Amino acid sequence: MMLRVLALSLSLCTPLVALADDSSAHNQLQAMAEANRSLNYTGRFLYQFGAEISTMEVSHAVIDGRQYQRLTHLDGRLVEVIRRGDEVLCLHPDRSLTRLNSQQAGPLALGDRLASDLPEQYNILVDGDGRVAGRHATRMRVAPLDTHRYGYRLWLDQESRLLLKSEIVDGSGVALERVEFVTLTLSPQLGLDHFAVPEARHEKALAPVAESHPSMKLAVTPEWLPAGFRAMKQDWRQAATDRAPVAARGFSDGLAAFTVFVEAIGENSVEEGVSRVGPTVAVSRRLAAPSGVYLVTLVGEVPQSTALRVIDGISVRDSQP
Amino acid sequence: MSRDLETLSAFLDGETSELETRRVMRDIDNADLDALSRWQLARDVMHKQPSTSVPAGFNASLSAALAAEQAPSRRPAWLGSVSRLAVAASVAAATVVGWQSWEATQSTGAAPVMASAQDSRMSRPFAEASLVSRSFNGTTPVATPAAQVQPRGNDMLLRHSEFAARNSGQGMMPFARLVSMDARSGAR
Repeated sequence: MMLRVLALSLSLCTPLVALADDSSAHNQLQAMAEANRSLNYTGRFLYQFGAEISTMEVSHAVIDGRQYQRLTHLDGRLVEVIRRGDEVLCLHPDRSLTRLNSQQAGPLALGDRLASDLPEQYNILVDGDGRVAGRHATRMRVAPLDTHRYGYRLWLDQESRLLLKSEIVDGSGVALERVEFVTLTLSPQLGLDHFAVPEARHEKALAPVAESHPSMKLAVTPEWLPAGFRAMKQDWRQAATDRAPVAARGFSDGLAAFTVFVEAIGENSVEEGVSRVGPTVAVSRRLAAPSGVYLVTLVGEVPQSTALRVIDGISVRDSQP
Repeated sequence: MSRDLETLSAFLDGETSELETRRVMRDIDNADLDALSRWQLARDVMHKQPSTSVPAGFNASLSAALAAEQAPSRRPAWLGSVSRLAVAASVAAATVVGWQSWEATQSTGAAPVMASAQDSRMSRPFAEASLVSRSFNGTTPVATPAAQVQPRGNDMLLRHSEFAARNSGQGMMPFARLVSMDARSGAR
């Protein structure tokens, strides 16, 4: 269920076990996917992005064939994400709650993707042994074959096959984001009450936009995508009725993902620019189209150069004749 | 605390060697976790630690670095604010750590070289978006990102996390990211 890591001098390391055959790496990942999906566990981990560190607790259980998961931010403000089967909820510091869209299939674990449909833009290597949270682990590396995406380093528990540690690594070998278990308990006693949703002060959901809304006729098209990235279904939603709907279209290569948002804006007062936090980049551009002026924002875990190249090629068309 | 602050702070900054990182991870205890959390709240600490305690050269070069980074700050308001907050906190953390180390070295008579250490920290790759909207000289009021972060931006982050969780093959990882950013932004 988690991945990413830091590579301090990774770029200088020679592949240790580049010889490891594909099927072995493949089997390891399949086992990991299965473990992350089917085992009951609870543990605490460090989450680091850029120079920030959070401590979090995660519990996972399968009860009556349904997956339950609870992710709790332990330091600073209390934020939680609770998954109950297909339902995913985010509880914010003020105890308001956002219900995330759950109509589509549940989240796929990393290993599901890698094991079933290994993106050809990545190379997977078994990298040797390591130790995480006091447990023996197998190190693996998922290396991108071009510069349009980030790589990963994974540590798999040798006993349970759970993912104990993962890092996202940029092209120069610097870790941008890391998840690392500090404690892990296998097969804890977890009941449904452990995944109960606390009383929320108010609740909101991102509302779908009616088919008849003029925005629905917009088509967001990228001129250029990095190899292997495919567009997912376009999705119009609005956060509140007094706000303009924002269109979103997701793109993924099977591992990395970014989302392009488009909203109609007036002529004035919009900030464009680039921000980065850890592996997440956000780029905003104004775009003048025949049908109006739009703000295009790309949010995702791809290198900034990739994000800029994609957003420069975005066009917005009014699909009406 | 079981270990010297410098190693832990280097770890926080991703500057430890792989060996050191393993050692830190192996030995990490609750006190260390507390320390890491505390440094994230270093903004608050800053208020209590007069910056005059920091060597003058350190402050000046930090301010210069911040001023230089501040200029081209055209950015999406929302993530920008998160980012500014994150970076303000990280710079503050480095500052406090620097101050602590400086005090420590002071007592043993070693010469402080914090300014150059700070420079290298500021140029780390993932500090690229590290624009900081305040100085540590106390002349500028502390930015209040909580009020500035636009809900619109958080909605985008929510939607991206949701999409990424479902389609990126990263499992719940995007939610960990979301949880962390949501907790930091305090936007709600």
